Amino acid sequence: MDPLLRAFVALFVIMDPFSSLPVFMSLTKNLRARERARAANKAALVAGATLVFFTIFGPILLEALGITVTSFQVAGGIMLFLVAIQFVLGISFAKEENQKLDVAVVLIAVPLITGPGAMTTAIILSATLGLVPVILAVLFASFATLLVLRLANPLHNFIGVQGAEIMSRLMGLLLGAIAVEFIRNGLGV
Amino acid sequence: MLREFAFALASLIVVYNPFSKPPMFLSLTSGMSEHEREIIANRSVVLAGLIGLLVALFGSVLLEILSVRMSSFKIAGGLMLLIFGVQFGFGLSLNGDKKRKYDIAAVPLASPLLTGPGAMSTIMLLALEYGAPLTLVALALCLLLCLVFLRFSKIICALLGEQIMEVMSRVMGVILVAFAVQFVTSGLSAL
Repeated sequence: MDPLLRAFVALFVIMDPFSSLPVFMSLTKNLRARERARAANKAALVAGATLVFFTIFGPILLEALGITVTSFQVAGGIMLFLVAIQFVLGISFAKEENQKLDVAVVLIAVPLITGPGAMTTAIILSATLGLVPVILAVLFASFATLLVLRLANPLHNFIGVQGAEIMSRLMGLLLGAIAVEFIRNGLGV
Repeated sequence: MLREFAFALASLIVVYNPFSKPPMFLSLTSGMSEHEREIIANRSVVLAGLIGLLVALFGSVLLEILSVRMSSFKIAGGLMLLIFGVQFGFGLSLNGDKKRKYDIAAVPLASPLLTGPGAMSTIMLLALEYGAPLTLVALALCLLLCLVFLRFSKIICALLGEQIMEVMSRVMGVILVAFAVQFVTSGLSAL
Protein backbone atom coordinates (compact mmCIF):
# COMPACT_ATOMS: atom_id res chain seq x y z
CA MET A 1 0.00 0.00 0.00
CA ASP A 2 1.03 3.57 -0.58
CA PRO A 3 2.79 4.86 2.59
CA LEU A 4 0.56 7.93 2.71
CA LEU A 5 -2.61 5.85 2.59
CA ARG A 6 -1.27 3.41 5.14
CA ALA A 7 -0.39 6.17 7.56
CA PHE A 8 -3.77 7.83 7.00
CA VAL A 9 -5.75 4.68 7.75
CA ALA A 10 -3.68 3.91 10.85
CA LEU A 11 -4.06 7.44 12.20
CA PHE A 12 -7.75 7.76 11.40
CA VAL A 13 -8.52 4.46 13.10
CA ILE A 14 -6.65 5.42 16.23
CA MET A 15 -7.99 9.00 16.34
CA ASP A 16 -11.42 7.39 16.05
CA PRO A 17 -13.55 10.53 15.71
CA PHE A 18 -16.75 8.46 15.69
CA SER A 19 -16.32 7.59 19.34
CA SER A 20 -15.50 11.22 20.18
CA LEU A 21 -18.57 12.46 18.33
CA PRO A 22 -21.10 11.75 21.11
CA VAL A 23 -18.75 13.37 23.63
CA PHE A 24 -18.39 16.37 21.36
CA MET A 25 -22.18 16.57 21.00
CA SER A 26 -22.67 16.46 24.77
CA LEU A 27 -20.13 19.20 25.20
CA THR A 28 -21.75 21.47 22.65
CA LYS A 29 -25.36 20.65 23.48
CA ASN A 30 -26.26 24.20 24.45
CA LEU A 31 -24.65 25.84 21.42
CA ARG A 32 -26.26 27.04 18.22
CA ALA A 33 -25.48 25.24 14.98
CA ARG A 34 -22.96 27.85 13.85
CA GLU A 35 -21.06 27.83 17.11
CA ARG A 36 -21.06 24.05 17.14
CA ALA A 37 -19.50 24.00 13.68
CA ARG A 38 -16.88 26.46 14.92
CA ALA A 39 -16.14 24.26 17.92
CA ALA A 40 -15.71 21.30 15.55
CA ASN A 41 -13.21 23.30 13.49
CA LYS A 42 -11.34 24.18 16.60
CA ALA A 43 -11.24 20.63 17.97
CA ALA A 44 -10.00 19.23 14.65
CA LEU A 45 -7.47 22.03 14.28
CA VAL A 46 -6.07 21.57 17.77
CA ALA A 47 -5.99 17.79 17.35
CA GLY A 48 -4.20 18.04 14.00
CA ALA A 49 -1.75 20.74 15.03
CA THR A 50 -0.83 18.91 18.22
CA LEU A 51 -0.24 15.71 16.31
CA VAL A 52 1.94 17.40 13.68
CA PHE A 53 3.93 19.12 16.40
CA PHE A 54 4.29 15.91 18.32
CA THR A 55 5.32 13.88 15.29
CA ILE A 56 8.18 16.29 14.66
CA PHE A 57 9.26 17.24 18.17
CA GLY A 58 7.66 14.54 20.33
CA PRO A 59 10.60 12.22 20.75
CA ILE A 60 12.96 15.09 21.59
CA LEU A 61 10.45 16.75 23.91
CA LEU A 62 9.64 13.65 25.93
CA GLU A 63 13.30 12.84 26.30
CA ALA A 64 14.16 16.37 27.40
CA LEU A 65 11.43 16.36 30.06
CA GLY A 66 12.12 12.81 31.06
CA ILE A 67 8.44 11.88 30.55
CA THR A 68 7.41 8.48 29.29
CA VAL A 69 4.42 7.97 27.00
CA THR A 70 2.83 5.91 29.76
CA SER A 71 2.92 8.82 32.24
CA PHE A 72 1.32 10.91 29.57
CA GLN A 73 -1.44 8.31 29.27
CA VAL A 74 -2.12 8.31 33.01
CA ALA A 75 -2.23 12.11 33.12
CA GLY A 76 -4.56 12.23 30.11
CA GLY A 77 -6.84 9.71 31.80
CA ILE A 78 -7.08 11.78 34.98
CA MET A 79 -7.98 14.92 33.01
CA LEU A 80 -10.62 13.02 31.03
CA PHE A 81 -12.14 11.67 34.23
CA LEU A 82 -12.59 15.20 35.52
CA VAL A 83 -14.38 16.11 32.28
CA ALA A 84 -16.57 13.02 32.74
CA ILE A 85 -17.59 14.13 36.25
CA GLN A 86 -18.71 17.46 34.83
CA PHE A 87 -20.83 15.74 32.18
CA VAL A 88 -22.42 13.39 34.70
CA LEU A 89 -23.34 16.14 37.13
CA GLY A 90 -24.24 18.61 34.40
CA ILE A 91 -21.86 21.20 35.85
CA SER A 92 -18.76 23.04 34.80
CA PHE A 93 -15.67 23.63 36.91
CA ALA A 94 -14.67 26.69 34.91
CA LYS A 95 -16.36 29.98 35.76
CA GLU A 96 -16.69 31.82 32.49
CA GLU A 97 -18.94 30.44 29.80
CA ASN A 98 -16.51 31.16 27.01
CA GLN A 99 -13.45 29.83 28.71
CA LYS A 100 -15.26 26.69 29.78
CA LEU A 101 -16.05 25.71 26.22
CA ASP A 102 -12.54 26.45 25.03
CA VAL A 103 -10.95 24.34 27.72
CA ALA A 104 -13.33 21.48 27.08
CA VAL A 105 -12.87 21.56 23.31
CA VAL A 106 -9.14 21.38 23.83
CA LEU A 107 -9.63 18.34 26.07
CA ILE A 108 -11.68 16.67 23.33
CA ALA A 109 -8.87 17.38 20.88
CA VAL A 110 -6.12 16.22 23.27
CA PRO A 111 -6.16 13.53 24.67
CA LEU A 112 -9.42 12.15 23.31
CA ILE A 113 -8.80 12.54 19.55
CA THR A 114 -5.04 13.02 19.55
CA GLY A 115 -4.21 10.79 22.49
CA PRO A 116 -1.04 9.01 23.45
CA GLY A 117 -2.08 6.25 21.05
CA ALA A 118 -2.18 8.58 18.06
CA MET A 119 1.05 10.24 19.13
CA THR A 120 2.89 6.95 19.52
CA THR A 121 1.48 5.72 16.21
CA ALA A 122 2.63 8.86 14.43
CA ILE A 123 6.13 8.59 15.88
CA ILE A 124 6.43 4.93 14.98
CA LEU A 125 5.07 5.52 11.47
CA SER A 126 7.43 8.40 10.83
CA ALA A 127 10.33 6.19 11.83
CA THR A 128 9.38 3.65 9.18
CA LEU A 129 7.66 5.67 6.43
CA GLY A 130 9.45 9.00 6.74
CA LEU A 131 8.36 12.29 8.21
CA VAL A 132 6.69 13.88 5.15
CA PRO A 133 4.07 11.21 4.32
CA VAL A 134 3.15 10.94 8.00
CA ILE A 135 2.62 14.68 8.37
CA LEU A 136 0.48 14.72 5.22
CA ALA A 137 -1.47 11.77 6.60
CA VAL A 138 -2.01 13.63 9.88
CA LEU A 139 -3.46 16.57 7.95
CA PHE A 140 -5.81 14.32 5.98
CA ALA A 141 -6.86 12.41 9.10
CA SER A 142 -7.59 15.68 10.92
CA PHE A 143 -9.72 16.83 8.01
CA ALA A 144 -11.62 13.54 8.06
CA THR A 145 -12.08 14.04 11.81
CA LEU A 146 -13.52 17.48 11.14
CA LEU A 147 -16.05 16.01 8.71
CA VAL A 148 -17.14 13.48 11.32
CA LEU A 149 -17.47 16.12 14.05
CA ARG A 150 -19.56 18.23 11.67
CA LEU A 151 -22.14 15.41 11.79
CA ALA A 152 -22.93 16.75 15.27
CA ASN A 153 -25.34 19.33 13.86
CA PRO A 154 -27.70 17.03 11.93
CA LEU A 155 -27.53 14.46 14.74
CA HIS A 156 -28.34 17.11 17.32
CA ASN A 157 -31.42 18.12 15.34
CA PHE A 158 -32.41 14.48 15.22
CA ILE A 159 -32.30 13.69 18.93
CA GLY A 160 -33.52 17.08 20.11
CA VAL A 161 -32.58 19.22 23.09
CA GLN A 162 -33.98 16.82 25.67
CA GLY A 163 -32.39 13.81 24.00
CA ALA A 164 -29.05 15.63 24.01
CA GLU A 165 -29.44 16.43 27.70
CA ILE A 166 -30.09 12.78 28.56
CA MET A 167 -27.35 11.52 26.23
CA SER A 168 -24.80 13.79 27.81
CA ARG A 169 -25.29 12.09 31.19
CA LEU A 170 -24.81 8.68 29.63
CA MET A 171 -21.77 9.88 27.69
CA GLY A 172 -20.29 11.16 30.94
CA LEU A 173 -20.40 7.66 32.37
CA LEU A 174 -18.82 6.14 29.28
CA LEU A 175 -16.18 8.86 29.15
CA GLY A 176 -15.35 8.06 32.76
CA ALA A 177 -14.82 4.44 31.77
CA ILE A 178 -12.64 5.50 28.81
CA ALA A 179 -10.60 7.60 31.24
CA VAL A 180 -10.10 4.61 33.53
CA GLU A 181 -8.96 2.61 30.48
CA PHE A 182 -6.38 5.31 29.70
CA ILE A 183 -5.06 5.20 33.24
CA ARG A 184 -4.99 1.40 33.28
CA ASN A 185 -3.17 1.24 29.96
CA GLY A 186 -0.64 3.73 31.26
CA LEU A 187 -0.13 1.80 34.45
CA GLY A 188 -0.08 -1.48 32.54
CA VAL A 189 -2.81 -3.17 34.59
CA MET B 1 -31.46 -16.31 41.47
CA LEU B 2 -33.64 -14.89 44.21
CA ARG B 3 -30.65 -13.43 46.00
CA GLU B 4 -29.43 -11.79 42.81
CA PHE B 5 -32.87 -10.39 42.15
CA ALA B 6 -33.05 -9.02 45.69
CA PHE B 7 -29.64 -7.41 45.28
CA ALA B 8 -30.62 -5.88 41.93
CA LEU B 9 -33.86 -4.53 43.33
CA ALA B 10 -32.23 -3.18 46.47
CA SER B 11 -29.45 -1.42 44.60
CA LEU B 12 -31.93 0.09 42.14
CA ILE B 13 -34.18 1.35 44.94
CA VAL B 14 -31.19 2.88 46.70
CA VAL B 15 -29.98 4.65 43.58
CA TYR B 16 -33.47 5.78 42.53
CA ASN B 17 -34.04 6.93 46.11
CA PRO B 18 -37.84 7.25 46.00
CA PHE B 19 -37.84 9.15 49.30
CA SER B 20 -36.11 12.08 47.68
CA LYS B 21 -38.73 12.39 44.95
CA PRO B 22 -41.98 13.69 46.50
CA PRO B 23 -40.61 17.07 47.66
CA MET B 24 -38.84 17.65 44.32
CA PHE B 25 -41.90 16.56 42.40
CA LEU B 26 -44.18 18.87 44.35
CA SER B 27 -41.92 21.86 43.86
CA LEU B 28 -41.52 21.14 40.13
CA THR B 29 -45.27 20.79 39.60
CA SER B 30 -46.33 23.58 41.91
CA GLY B 31 -49.38 25.39 40.56
CA MET B 32 -50.58 22.40 38.55
CA SER B 33 -53.87 20.64 39.00
CA GLU B 34 -54.07 17.14 40.49
CA HIS B 35 -54.91 15.76 37.06
CA GLU B 36 -51.91 17.39 35.37
CA ARG B 37 -49.68 16.04 38.12
CA GLU B 38 -50.94 12.54 37.51
CA ILE B 39 -50.24 12.77 33.79
CA ILE B 40 -46.74 14.11 34.40
CA ALA B 41 -45.98 11.43 37.00
CA ASN B 42 -47.07 8.66 34.62
CA ARG B 43 -45.22 10.10 31.65
CA SER B 44 -41.97 10.64 33.52
CA VAL B 45 -41.94 7.12 34.94
CA VAL B 46 -42.62 5.59 31.51
CA LEU B 47 -39.87 7.70 29.97
CA ALA B 48 -37.49 6.80 32.79
CA GLY B 49 -38.27 3.13 32.10
CA LEU B 50 -37.57 3.56 28.39
CA ILE B 51 -34.20 5.15 29.09
CA GLY B 52 -33.41 2.32 31.50
CA LEU B 53 -34.45 -0.25 28.88
CA LEU B 54 -32.12 1.27 26.26
CA VAL B 55 -29.23 1.35 28.72
CA ALA B 56 -29.80 -2.25 29.84
CA LEU B 57 -30.02 -3.55 26.27
CA PHE B 58 -27.29 -1.52 24.57
CA GLY B 59 -24.92 -0.66 27.41
CA SER B 60 -22.62 -3.60 26.83
CA VAL B 61 -22.59 -2.96 23.06
CA LEU B 62 -21.54 0.65 23.71
CA LEU B 63 -18.72 -0.50 25.98
CA GLU B 64 -17.55 -2.91 23.30
CA ILE B 65 -17.57 -0.24 20.57
CA LEU B 66 -15.52 2.06 22.77
CA SER B 67 -13.29 -0.92 23.69
CA VAL B 68 -13.81 -0.34 27.39
CA ARG B 69 -13.41 -3.32 29.69
CA MET B 70 -16.22 -4.03 32.14
CA SER B 71 -13.87 -3.75 35.10
CA SER B 72 -12.96 -0.21 33.99
CA PHE B 73 -16.64 0.65 33.77
CA LYS B 74 -17.15 -0.76 37.26
CA ILE B 75 -14.43 1.50 38.62
CA ALA B 76 -15.70 4.58 36.78
CA GLY B 77 -19.38 3.84 37.46
CA GLY B 78 -18.62 3.13 41.11
CA LEU B 79 -16.76 6.43 41.48
CA MET B 80 -19.70 8.29 39.94
CA LEU B 81 -22.12 6.50 42.28
CA LEU B 82 -19.90 7.56 45.14
CA ILE B 83 -20.43 11.20 44.18
CA PHE B 84 -24.20 10.69 44.15
CA GLY B 85 -24.15 8.83 47.44
CA VAL B 86 -22.24 11.69 49.02
CA GLN B 87 -24.77 14.17 47.64
CA PHE B 88 -27.71 12.21 49.06
CA GLY B 89 -25.91 11.54 52.32
CA PHE B 90 -25.08 15.16 53.01
CA GLY B 91 -28.31 16.39 51.45
CA LEU B 92 -26.48 18.64 49.03
CA SER B 93 -26.63 19.13 45.30
CA LEU B 94 -23.49 19.78 43.28
CA ASN B 95 -25.24 20.98 40.17
CA GLY B 96 -26.88 24.35 40.00
CA ASP B 97 -30.54 25.16 39.62
CA LYS B 98 -32.65 22.86 37.51
CA LYS B 99 -33.74 24.31 34.24
CA ARG B 100 -37.47 24.20 33.71
CA LYS B 101 -37.81 25.47 30.22
CA TYR B 102 -38.72 22.11 28.72
CA ASP B 103 -41.55 19.72 29.28
CA ILE B 104 -40.60 18.71 32.82
CA ALA B 105 -41.77 15.10 32.43
CA ALA B 106 -38.69 14.29 30.32
CA VAL B 107 -36.03 16.67 31.64
CA PRO B 108 -35.52 16.93 34.59
CA LEU B 109 -38.01 14.35 35.89
CA ALA B 110 -37.42 11.22 33.79
CA SER B 111 -33.73 12.04 33.62
CA PRO B 112 -31.71 12.99 35.62
CA LEU B 113 -34.06 12.86 38.62
CA LEU B 114 -35.34 9.33 37.94
CA THR B 115 -33.04 7.54 35.47
CA GLY B 116 -29.99 9.74 35.94
CA PRO B 117 -26.36 8.80 35.51
CA GLY B 118 -26.27 6.93 38.82
CA ALA B 119 -29.24 4.80 37.78
CA MET B 120 -27.76 4.33 34.30
CA SER B 121 -24.50 2.98 35.62
CA THR B 122 -26.30 0.74 38.10
CA ILE B 123 -28.56 -0.62 35.35
CA MET B 124 -25.61 -1.20 33.05
CA LEU B 125 -23.60 -2.91 35.78
CA LEU B 126 -26.53 -5.10 36.81
CA ALA B 127 -27.29 -6.01 33.19
CA LEU B 128 -23.66 -6.97 32.61
CA GLU B 129 -23.56 -9.02 35.78
CA TYR B 130 -26.99 -10.69 35.94
CA GLY B 131 -28.34 -10.25 32.42
CA ALA B 132 -30.87 -7.81 31.01
CA PRO B 133 -34.13 -9.72 31.80
CA LEU B 134 -33.56 -9.89 35.56
CA THR B 135 -32.41 -6.28 35.63
CA LEU B 136 -35.45 -5.10 33.71
CA VAL B 137 -37.92 -6.89 35.99
CA ALA B 138 -36.22 -5.34 39.02
CA LEU B 139 -36.24 -1.97 37.26
CA ALA B 140 -39.96 -2.26 36.54
CA LEU B 141 -40.68 -2.96 40.21
CA CYS B 142 -38.48 -0.13 41.35
CA LEU B 143 -40.11 2.32 38.94
CA LEU B 144 -43.52 1.19 40.13
CA LEU B 145 -42.45 2.15 43.63
CA CYS B 146 -41.23 5.51 42.32
CA LEU B 147 -44.57 6.01 40.58
CA VAL B 148 -46.37 5.41 43.86
CA PHE B 149 -44.15 7.99 45.56
CA LEU B 150 -44.78 10.50 42.77
CA ARG B 151 -48.51 9.93 42.53
CA PHE B 152 -49.02 10.16 46.27
CA SER B 153 -46.42 12.88 46.82
CA LYS B 154 -48.78 15.06 48.79
CA ILE B 155 -50.08 12.32 51.04
CA ILE B 156 -46.62 10.86 51.60
CA CYS B 157 -45.15 14.25 52.45
CA ALA B 158 -47.99 14.94 54.87
CA LEU B 159 -47.89 11.46 56.40
CA LEU B 160 -44.16 11.08 56.92
CA GLY B 161 -43.30 14.70 57.38
CA GLU B 162 -40.35 16.38 55.74
CA GLN B 163 -37.91 15.45 58.45
CA ILE B 164 -38.46 11.72 58.19
CA MET B 165 -38.25 11.91 54.40
CA GLU B 166 -34.98 13.82 54.71
CA VAL B 167 -33.57 11.23 57.10
CA MET B 168 -34.66 8.34 54.85
CA SER B 169 -33.06 10.03 51.87
CA ARG B 170 -29.78 10.39 53.75
CA VAL B 171 -29.85 6.76 54.85
CA MET B 172 -30.24 5.83 51.17
CA GLY B 173 -27.18 7.97 50.46
CA VAL B 174 -25.07 6.11 52.97
CA ILE B 175 -26.15 2.75 51.56
CA LEU B 176 -25.42 4.04 48.06
CA VAL B 177 -21.87 4.91 49.10
CA ALA B 178 -21.44 1.34 50.31
CA PHE B 179 -22.70 -0.01 46.98
CA ALA B 180 -20.34 2.37 45.17
CA VAL B 181 -17.36 1.12 47.14
CA GLN B 182 -18.36 -2.43 46.33
CA PHE B 183 -18.47 -1.71 42.59
CA VAL B 184 -15.09 -0.01 42.68
CA THR B 185 -13.41 -2.79 44.66
CA SER B 186 -14.93 -5.44 42.41
CA GLY B 187 -13.56 -3.52 39.39
CA LEU B 188 -10.17 -3.14 41.03
CA SER B 189 -9.96 -6.82 41.91
CA ALA B 190 -9.99 -7.58 38.16
CA LEU B 191 -6.73 -5.67 37.70
